[in-house]
Amino acid sequence: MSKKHRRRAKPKSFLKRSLFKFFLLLATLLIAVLAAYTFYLDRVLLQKFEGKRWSVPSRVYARALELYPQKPLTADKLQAELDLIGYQPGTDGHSPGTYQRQNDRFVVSTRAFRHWDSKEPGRSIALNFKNKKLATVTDLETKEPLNLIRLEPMLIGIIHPAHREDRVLVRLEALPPKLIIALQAVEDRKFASHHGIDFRGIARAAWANLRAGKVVQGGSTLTQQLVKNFFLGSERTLTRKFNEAIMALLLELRYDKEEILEAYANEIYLGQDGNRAIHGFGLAAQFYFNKPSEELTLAESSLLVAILRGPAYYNPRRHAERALKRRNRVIEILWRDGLIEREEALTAQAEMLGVTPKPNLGNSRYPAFMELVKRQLQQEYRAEDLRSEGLRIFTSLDPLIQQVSERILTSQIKQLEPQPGMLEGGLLISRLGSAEVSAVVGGRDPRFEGFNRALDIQRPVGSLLKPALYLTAVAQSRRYTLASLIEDQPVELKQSDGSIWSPANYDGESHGLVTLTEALINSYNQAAVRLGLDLGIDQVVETINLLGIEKQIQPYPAVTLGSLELAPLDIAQMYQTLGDQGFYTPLRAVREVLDAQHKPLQRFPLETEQRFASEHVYLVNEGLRIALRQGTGQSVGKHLSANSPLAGKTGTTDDLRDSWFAGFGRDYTAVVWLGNDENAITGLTGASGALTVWADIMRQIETPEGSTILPMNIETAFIDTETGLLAGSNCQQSYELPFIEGTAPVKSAPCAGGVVKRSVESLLDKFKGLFR
Amino acid sequence: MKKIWLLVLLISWLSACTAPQPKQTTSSNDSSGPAAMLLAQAQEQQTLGQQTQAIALAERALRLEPRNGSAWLALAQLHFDGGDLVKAEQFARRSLQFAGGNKALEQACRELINKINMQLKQNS
Repeated sequence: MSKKHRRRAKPKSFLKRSLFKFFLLLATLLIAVLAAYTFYLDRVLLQKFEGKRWSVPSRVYARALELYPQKPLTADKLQAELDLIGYQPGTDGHSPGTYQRQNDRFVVSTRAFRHWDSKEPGRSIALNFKNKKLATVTDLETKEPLNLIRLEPMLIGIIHPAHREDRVLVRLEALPPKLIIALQAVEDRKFASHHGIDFRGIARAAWANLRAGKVVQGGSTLTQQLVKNFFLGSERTLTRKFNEAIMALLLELRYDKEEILEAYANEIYLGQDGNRAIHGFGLAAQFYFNKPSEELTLAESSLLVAILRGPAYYNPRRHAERALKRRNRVIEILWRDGLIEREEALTAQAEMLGVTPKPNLGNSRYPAFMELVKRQLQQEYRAEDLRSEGLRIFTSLDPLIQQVSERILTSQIKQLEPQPGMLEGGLLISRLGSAEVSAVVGGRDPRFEGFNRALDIQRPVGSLLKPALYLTAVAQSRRYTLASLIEDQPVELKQSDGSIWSPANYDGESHGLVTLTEALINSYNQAAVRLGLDLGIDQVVETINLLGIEKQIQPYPAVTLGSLELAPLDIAQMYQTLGDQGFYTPLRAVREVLDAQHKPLQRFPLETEQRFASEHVYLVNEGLRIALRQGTGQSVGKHLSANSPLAGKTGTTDDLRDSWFAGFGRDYTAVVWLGNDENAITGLTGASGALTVWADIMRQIETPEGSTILPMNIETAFIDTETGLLAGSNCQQSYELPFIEGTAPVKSAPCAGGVVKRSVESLLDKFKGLFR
Repeated sequence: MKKIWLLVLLISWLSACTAPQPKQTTSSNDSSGPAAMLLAQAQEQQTLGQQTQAIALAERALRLEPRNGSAWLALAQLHFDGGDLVKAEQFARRSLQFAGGNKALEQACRELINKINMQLKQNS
């Protein structure tokens, strides 16, 4: 029995040993595999955490409003700007981003902002307006007057990465301490002491879930949540849970609590804006409260912590009650844990949610201008970098001018259109001097992110090119002055296909001998073609090119009548050169690009090139000024004051399909096109359509006072409109015209006592001029 | 280099003192205005060797006062000092355009243009 027993015992111990060996081997293998796997996870973690953690979209800013004494600005415009940059009309005007207005007096608490060149500190300032000017700017703290300050610029757009995750990176220090405290109190009370996993928390959650019969509590630490969001998907599998646990432990081993918390604060998903996902507290503060995260109050911080559990379910804009209830629960937890005083808790709980209306961001607010920005940037940057490198792009958009332009274009289109919905439009406004684009409207629905008529519609421009023709003429100052007589007679030209081209005037008549000025201001076609042929069409084409229309143009006589198809943007460039008195400056929308660390990456510096003598352009511009008052623009222009600098030209195409107006004042160039997308007849001329839009806008944006500086060698004389000779008091119609010194007529018109039939003599003069 | 700056500031000061020229705005060349302040900052930056920053500040001054002839001249001078003669000449011409009846500014512009032309000749 005992033998038997011994015999039996032997294999058992052998089996035991073998099993032990087997398990040892298996365990070693498992440990090795686990170690290798952990090593792999560690690499994954390191790679992501050490590298660029997030791709951050680029943010695009409008121009910053500069404030200084005597700036032409009304109180209403300042208020509009403050509203656009999201300042709240507060009761005291003392917390940053608030203001108080009493008629012409403002108290504003500005926010600090890092502009492209320097940081503007936040200040409390008082502003007084008088006579449509900013009279004084005073620092309320020092009581000192301020000579120049800048408000923060409006954020006008975001250039997204493909997956449309958006965030504004914040440092932990930039978050209110109460937010961090609330986050830990609600999501992970043992955050400060655990090593990535809180076993007691898991047990507690499991127990709570068991009792409730459903998932009511999560046991994940902040570290685990971060790992889940950062590296893993949202699927609920054991493998994922396993990976999450290991990576949470690794993360805690490798990084300190602050770093983990900061990553969490930037990663956490907090809401949705269309197809843009709102991540991180930095962006959430802007998205929900329109303020930087530093300024979040206890109630606001608590709301953000409340909604991170389910940003859709607790969406404070959609489910205010639900969000409020949970926010107050968060505040209660803070009080229960002794983290805030009872008083503080009660006050915070009594507060409204304070969520601002949803900001209109992305590219949807000013899509037409943003398109121009992208085109300018795409010459220098890869699209991928624009979407992911967190660039800060400073542009020249003037939101006040943009707002005025949108409103006027939209309302005028509705008034002017023959049938509802048939009329479209586009416009572009740029500043004289800098050639920076202030506003672009791409259609009657300014928010529509589609066809951009300001940049892309190609339509015959009609008479808009005529200033180039007359500039070519007066640049030959010995042959042509504004008073020279030219012939407005029928003209017949044989075309390459053998057909005869004989342009007519708009009124169907020919006007015989007319001054250059009369031909320009009344836009006579026959005179224009004859003048063009006399000057040489290729000369006219060269002028058009030099004015800034870089298109290759075939030198056909019809060019003088604007047979060319161009976009408002092209015309804006041409009129910008005219408005800048012959200096060509490329239109620009972007001023500076900074990288995510605020380091300047690129400036788009001012460049200019004198392409025409200022005095020659001045002559044409005076012609355009008269055209607006007494010529094709008179329906609007006759109401202008005598010293108004506004000048411009109508453009109308065959059968009244396209209605154009282009011109400038003292500060801005503006081009307006109205027409139909399918090229249907609109029944509008340049004067009855586009001009009304143009004039309404210019009245709003131009500074009313000041005057033009005359180029140096200019003289002026009163000229009889009929003969082009010196006018006297008996002459029925005359205007004051500028001349290059020494070229003004010396003889008087018959109405001014002149005895010779001047028109004949003037023609002889011109003839002689040919041989000079 | 410093001389020209003094001249620019002097011109702005003079033009603010002299009677307004016919058809010329009185504020455009004001020495106490925001543009003059920014131009003074531009000068500081240039002394610190921050050429790009100096140019950016002069451009900012011009945004505020696009018809300020002194500001255009200052920008011309900055480009001249930075060795960009072509730009310097164009901006000096621009300044001339706004000189109106301001003889001192006109003369300063012409002197700079002459200097540029001489240097351009030497270079070629």
